[in-house]
Amino acid sequence: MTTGSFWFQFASPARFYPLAGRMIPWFGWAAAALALAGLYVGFFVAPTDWQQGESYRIIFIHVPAAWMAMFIYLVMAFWCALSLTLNTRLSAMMAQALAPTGAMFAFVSLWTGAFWGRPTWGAYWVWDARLTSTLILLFLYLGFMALRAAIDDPRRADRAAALLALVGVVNVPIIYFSVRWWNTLHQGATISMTAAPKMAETMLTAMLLMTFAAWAYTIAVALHRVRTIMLEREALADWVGEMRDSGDVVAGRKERDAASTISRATR
Amino acid sequence: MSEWLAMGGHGFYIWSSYAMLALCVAAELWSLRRGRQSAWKQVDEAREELELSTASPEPAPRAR
Repeated sequence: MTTGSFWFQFASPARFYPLAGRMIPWFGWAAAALALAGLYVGFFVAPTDWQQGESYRIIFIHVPAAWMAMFIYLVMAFWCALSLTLNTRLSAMMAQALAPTGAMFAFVSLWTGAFWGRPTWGAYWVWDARLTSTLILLFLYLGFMALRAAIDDPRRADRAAALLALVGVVNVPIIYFSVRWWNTLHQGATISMTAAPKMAETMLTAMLLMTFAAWAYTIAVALHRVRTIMLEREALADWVGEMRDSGDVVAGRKERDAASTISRATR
Repeated sequence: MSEWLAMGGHGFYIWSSYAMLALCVAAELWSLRRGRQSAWKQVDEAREELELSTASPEPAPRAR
């Protein structure tokens, strides 16, 4: 078996569904553990900032949320490109599964940014390049979901939404470089690959722990959502029927309850 | 404790931020759970409709 066919077998929903199901609890628990560790370091170990006082502690959720919002968009656009070119069912479903979580992180980064901006800059909102481009990112996510929802035929919805996502990808480098290209109120990049970190090591540790938590959370949630999408879109497929009837009305029932286990695990 | 919660006068901003994140995560997990339940319901309905249509003597159009 070549590597190519090895990976392609997971592109079939029938194969991917059980695999994703086994992975969700691991990522869910990892997200919970990392977030607890990150919050502990962030609130009880990291020192008070000499300039901003305590308000800087918003960074531990603001920066991870902003990173995830941008990164999820790139991943979503990647799946959209695959679905347009290879026409694989699973790629479009993955993009569809990621969008709500990306929108959630974009919203959280705007919200936490507003509540950090007020004590720091004196304003909840300014029409600054970074803030405005992040708002556009949120609208792109919402537009992607609304466009999908407006088209009844799922395959046509996939294609239309994929095109929108690919056009919108130009916004991600604009957000990222906005603090360099324009004179903005927003501070520069928090972490740079080329420069030594400008923040205390414990602050950085807390922020990275929260970032990994956000990663694990996103993976768990996206896998859970993609399984739901598979059920909806393949309700009449043989593999769903087999899972439902043979030996596994039970598995099916378990499935229905599994959702609650996952929400407990990721909380 | 209340001094810690006050966060040097920035408590309102910090806790508003963290509370919104908690709210969003809770809402997302709740909607995932609802979505899974309704997906299984859809599967049941679609398949029952299909079984009914294949069981009837006249060939009925395939569900969906």
